[in-house]
Amino acid sequence: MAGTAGETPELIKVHSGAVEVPYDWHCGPYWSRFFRGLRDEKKIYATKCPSCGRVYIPPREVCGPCFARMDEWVEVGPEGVIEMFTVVRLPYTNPSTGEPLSVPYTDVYVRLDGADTSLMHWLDETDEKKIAVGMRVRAVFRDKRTGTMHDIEHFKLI
Amino acid sequence: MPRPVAIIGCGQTKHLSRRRDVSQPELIAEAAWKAMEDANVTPDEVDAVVVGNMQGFGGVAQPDLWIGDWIGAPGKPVMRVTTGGTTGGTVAQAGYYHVASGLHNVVLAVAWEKHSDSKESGATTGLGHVGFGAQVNLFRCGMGLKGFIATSGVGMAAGVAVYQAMYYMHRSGCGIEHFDMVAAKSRRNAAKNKYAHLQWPNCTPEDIAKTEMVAYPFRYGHVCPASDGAAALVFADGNTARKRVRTPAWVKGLASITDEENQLISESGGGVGIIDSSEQMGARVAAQKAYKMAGIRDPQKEIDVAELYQPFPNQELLFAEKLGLFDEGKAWLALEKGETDIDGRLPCDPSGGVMSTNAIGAAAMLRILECALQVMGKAEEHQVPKKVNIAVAHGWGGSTNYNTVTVLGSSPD
Ligand SMILES: [Zn+2]
Repeated sequence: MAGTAGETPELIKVHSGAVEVPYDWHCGPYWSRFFRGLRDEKKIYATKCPSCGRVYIPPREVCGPCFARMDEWVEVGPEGVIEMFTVVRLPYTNPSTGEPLSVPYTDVYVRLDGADTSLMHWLDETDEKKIAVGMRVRAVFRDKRTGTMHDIEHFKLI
Repeated sequence: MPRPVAIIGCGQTKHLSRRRDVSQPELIAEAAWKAMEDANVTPDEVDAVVVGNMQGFGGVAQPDLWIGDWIGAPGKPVMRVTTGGTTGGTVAQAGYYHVASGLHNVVLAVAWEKHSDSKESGATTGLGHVGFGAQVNLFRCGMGLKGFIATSGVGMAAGVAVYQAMYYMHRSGCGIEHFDMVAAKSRRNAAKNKYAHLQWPNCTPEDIAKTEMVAYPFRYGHVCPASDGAAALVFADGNTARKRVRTPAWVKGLASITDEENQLISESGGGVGIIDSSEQMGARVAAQKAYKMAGIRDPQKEIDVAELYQPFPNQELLFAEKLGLFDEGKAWLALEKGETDIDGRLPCDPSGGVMSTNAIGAAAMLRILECALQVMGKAEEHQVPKKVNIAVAHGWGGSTNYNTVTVLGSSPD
């Protein structure tokens, strides 16, 4: 028998190691144009629906409600308005590194001038009392740009 | 019209941070056996099985391929459904469809999560993502585009709850103190539910208000736990239901709706998710369809109890409004008056809800299960002190865009 009477039998745990999930993502023509715009021109490009006129950022091919193909490109920003924000104070784990995130930092939804959807990014201000919905902000581009969302470093209050 | 279908059996496990006492199939089997016993059916009488958990969580892949024998289904059809946070709601609705179609008479639906077995970042930080993150944060730590897309798929309720809360406060005029009230009510209700995870008898809003701010406007006390647990339901056709149990919980109406406006950017490059994350029109549309099917004209008057998917306290308020239980922007006023208390006019989450117990794959099924218990009068200490004729269950998840609504009733007509 497994154990002596009166003892709780030991429960065994088996540990399995780390799993990697490498894969490629092909951005396609719309996101590629968006990232090229950030990298090469420091400009933010969006697409406009020919049917309802809504301007999408990040740009995409299809307007869902209209099921219409968008092929008109428009420039939006680099200034806009804070739609919503939060200051994160919990140092939860960064899934990329397994390290705790450094806090505090501020997330914002920015409604860029000329856009009908909002872009999620960071704000370089972490005092809730100094931030309000409706404040104007501007994108700060990095000097060295590689064609990613990192090419905008953060937004700053104007 | 589909033929009448009822829930005749409910089973759930005790929920804890770590169910280290059992293996994953043993955890699932515990709920499945309880449901079959409750339904007064043997495994031989079950025609088909629907299962589901959150994809990749619990450190296992394709559990549908090995779980059948553990839950009384050898030699039977087993279908797996997984729709993120709504998984349990979708599994239950698929169980309903199996019977309503006339293809099967008795169907077992099982949903679960064993979070604590997960070591992968998507699961362990998933709730952090839901609550506080935003995928763009991750760029800061050196995440590239691929990681951005990956987290879009994995933790992509990312940051939504915080933003939802901010939008909801902005729209409705409610304050953080109302989130404290929802959280305290959930903890108190959970203390009456022997299966619930975070139980706190006599918890007050002041207790919650003392907890640390983690991401404005959320305090630590506003956050759901990550639970290990499983839930199971037995669905049966009308004739079988009447023969097997005294009070079946009849499925009166149901719907599930995806709403891309509320979906964050996903692997398809689709999803707008950046309009207003408290909009959740999918919940409103799903409720309208389910109510129409159930013959409900005035949900504010006809619904007796609601189980809403509320891992964060703003969600109980805004989804109660989207489900038509209160006027738009007014649920927090009803909360102040005690209308949503367990003994109130329209109790919301008398079980303690997802705020208190969140085994993700099971959480949306538990909303339906808890409604079934209320209809059957079997909720024990957290039974609402009135006759329950109609109960509504809600699930929220997918990629933050998906809603399930299920209406149960005490009579099939
Ligand atoms: Zn359009």
